[in-house]
Amino acid sequence: MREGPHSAAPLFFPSTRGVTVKRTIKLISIKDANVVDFVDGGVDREGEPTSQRQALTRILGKRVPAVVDGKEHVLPVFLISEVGEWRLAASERLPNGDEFLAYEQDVIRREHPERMLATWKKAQAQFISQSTERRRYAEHQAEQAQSADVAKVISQMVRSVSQQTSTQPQRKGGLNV
Amino acid sequence: MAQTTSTTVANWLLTEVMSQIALDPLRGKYVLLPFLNMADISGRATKNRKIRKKTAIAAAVDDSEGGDFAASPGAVALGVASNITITPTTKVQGVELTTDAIELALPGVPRSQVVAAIQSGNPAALPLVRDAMTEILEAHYLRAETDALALFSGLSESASSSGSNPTAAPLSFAVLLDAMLKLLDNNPASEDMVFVLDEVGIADLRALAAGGSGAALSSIFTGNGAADLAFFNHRPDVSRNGFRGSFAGIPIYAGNKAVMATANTGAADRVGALIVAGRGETGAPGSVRGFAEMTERYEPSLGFQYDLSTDSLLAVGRWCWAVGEHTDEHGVKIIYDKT
Repeated sequence: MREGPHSAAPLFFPSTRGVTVKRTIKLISIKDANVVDFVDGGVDREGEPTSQRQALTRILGKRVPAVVDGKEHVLPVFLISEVGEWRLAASERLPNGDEFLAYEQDVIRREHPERMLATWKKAQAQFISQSTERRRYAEHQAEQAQSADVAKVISQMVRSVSQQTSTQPQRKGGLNV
Repeated sequence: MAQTTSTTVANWLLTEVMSQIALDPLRGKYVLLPFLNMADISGRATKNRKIRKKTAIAAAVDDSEGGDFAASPGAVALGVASNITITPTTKVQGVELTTDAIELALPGVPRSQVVAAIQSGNPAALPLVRDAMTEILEAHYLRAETDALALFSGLSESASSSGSNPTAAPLSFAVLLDAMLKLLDNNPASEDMVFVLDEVGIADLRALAAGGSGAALSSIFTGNGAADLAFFNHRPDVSRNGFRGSFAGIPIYAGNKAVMATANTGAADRVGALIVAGRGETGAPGSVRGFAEMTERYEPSLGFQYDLSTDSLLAVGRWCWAVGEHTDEHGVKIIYDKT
């Protein structure tokens, strides 16, 4: 709704064309243990998916090949872990058309069979352990390089100190400390 | 006399314009938008943009005399692996300017003339409408940047963090190296890559380079100046494109955290990424294919209307576009502590 006519400053008003309600969908990935937030913009007034909903649909459609228990599977990369509540502005309301509900059912509340979920979890554990292994190896290499570098610096310091000591003339009668 | 009046009005206007510039709202940074490919489907008989992703064919085989190559090993069909569909949708934003506000912006002009100019679409009212439209265009850019940054969350590959998952750790060089390895391993169409992080991520890297206490890789930055320390040096970023230097020759950009996605419990982590930079129109000669594109169905349409009942000017800008991902292989997300 538009504000009153006599406000001093120019006013922004919410969209009157489409639905601007949003909710956050939490997604879990097969390749890491992070839970990412993704904004779901729902559908617009004509029932067409908003661009945010399109992106979400696309993400949920991503597949990855994985070998679990010696068998090849093609598994979804992302699964929905949590569906947030719709956030609405004071002037907005949720559309309640059948198409909207059907779409929500299809894309958001997609059920996964238990067997697939078990395979998915195993594949996730594999991907994560591979990734962690590789990072540990990289860190180990870096630490080795670092300690080698430090050793080099220390040996240079020792050499320069010993050179200084050997070339410094001793003062007669001075304290040789 | 007439001359004096016009000079006075012009001076007032100039002062008004200068104060407006000084008090303009702080703009968001558009860091990722320049790295998106562009496409335009305006005027076409479809509302969708479809891109066919083809499967790669195998390497050539030795030809044997008298042998039928097509039978064995067999010619490979140039199949369609999948379709990408990007459907631009209309986004809208508007500003309602009260006649009082318009009158204030045009000192010396009688109110009746202001209203008459707006109602009749007189060009005299245009400077103020232009200001309104600038704001509206900024609103669209901000949304496009937000949508593009949100795509990071949906990338399959993730650079491995050393934090106790699911909460990621502060950003480290090891994570950047892991991201590079994973992205280059995908054989991307172009190796023109950029890191898109936020200021906290940049600060993490600077702290590692400066302090180095217990920081893997930090020692390479203190040896004979051989390593790339560009990201450590702040530069006056007049263009405000977020460029902060480079790591291993790859430019690092800092995005606006307000429009970047979050991850993990309590939204404690930030989602950045290493992506292949797109340049130019998708598929056009000389262009570089990046990780995503912005597809436009119709150009911004801007209009305004005087509302007699509210005595205000409603300026509305519509633009039909969408931001969509090209290939999952062209990006690796980087998740780290956001504080």
